[in-house]
Amino acid sequence: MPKPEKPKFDELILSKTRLGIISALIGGDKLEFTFLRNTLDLSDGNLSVQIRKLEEAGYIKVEKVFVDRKPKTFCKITSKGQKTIRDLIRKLEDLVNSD
Amino acid sequence: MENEDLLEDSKANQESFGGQKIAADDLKFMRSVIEKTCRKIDPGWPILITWGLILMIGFPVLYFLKIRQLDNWLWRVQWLLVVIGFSISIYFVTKAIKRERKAGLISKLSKQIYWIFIILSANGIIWTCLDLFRDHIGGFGFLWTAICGIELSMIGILYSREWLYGGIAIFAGIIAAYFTAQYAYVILGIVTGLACIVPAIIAQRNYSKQEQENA
Repeated sequence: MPKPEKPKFDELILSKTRLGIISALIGGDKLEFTFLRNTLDLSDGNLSVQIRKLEEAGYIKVEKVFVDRKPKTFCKITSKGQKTIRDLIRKLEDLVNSD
Repeated sequence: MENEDLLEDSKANQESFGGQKIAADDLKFMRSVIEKTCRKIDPGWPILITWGLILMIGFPVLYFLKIRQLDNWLWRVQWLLVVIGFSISIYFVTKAIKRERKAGLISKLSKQIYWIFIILSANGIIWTCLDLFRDHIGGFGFLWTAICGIELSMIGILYSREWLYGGIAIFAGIIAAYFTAQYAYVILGIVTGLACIVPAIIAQRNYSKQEQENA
């Protein structure tokens, strides 16, 4: 009997840190850098690198604004990111439910 | 040969179980992050309580002016109510937007709710300006009560069901007011006022409770 084909995963999003960032943004809210850093318990440097990777892949959009004269960086998921994360969840669920 | 096949199958099963475990862990991790970040939005109770009080006081005042046939005052008070209501709403909404930006979480849901509020209220203002409501839907009170009922119902569907009960109560109030024309404005004022104030208090209490639990 032929073995079922293994699902192909997007390696970029499978990293725990990037998965955390994209999961935090999944609801469509705009989240600020500090808020993300504290929620995911990451260092500034690590978060910056991962955000840049996700931005380059087109999964998130980064917006720099001034709030009370202080610079703030907000992140928002893109429609490409939404589609990718939905696909990933479906594949993970299929894998968990497979016999 | 058979043993080799069995060994291969066993290895494949182990690999598959390992993959399943990793997938389950990933899903669990994603769920925990979503639960942490998808916080309930601040219900913004001051806006609703203000609107509730304006309607509770304003509509009986309009009723009083109508039975005294003070028509010259009637439209002035109507516009005064609209201007006070919107000035206060704009003040509280601006404050809420600033608070969200400062906290670092700009909620998509609150944006959707603001748009519902803006579009429906703009409709109400246009109808009031053009005086369209007079012959078609019974009067200023009915128009703004209906707008308030639709707004609360939509917030109830999108956000929290307390508001939906408020919206339903308003529609019941409109029907009751229609059949008791003499006291229509008093009924509309009390029902709409309570439909705004009571859910606002309940939603704020639930929000504070959840914030305490999350802290």
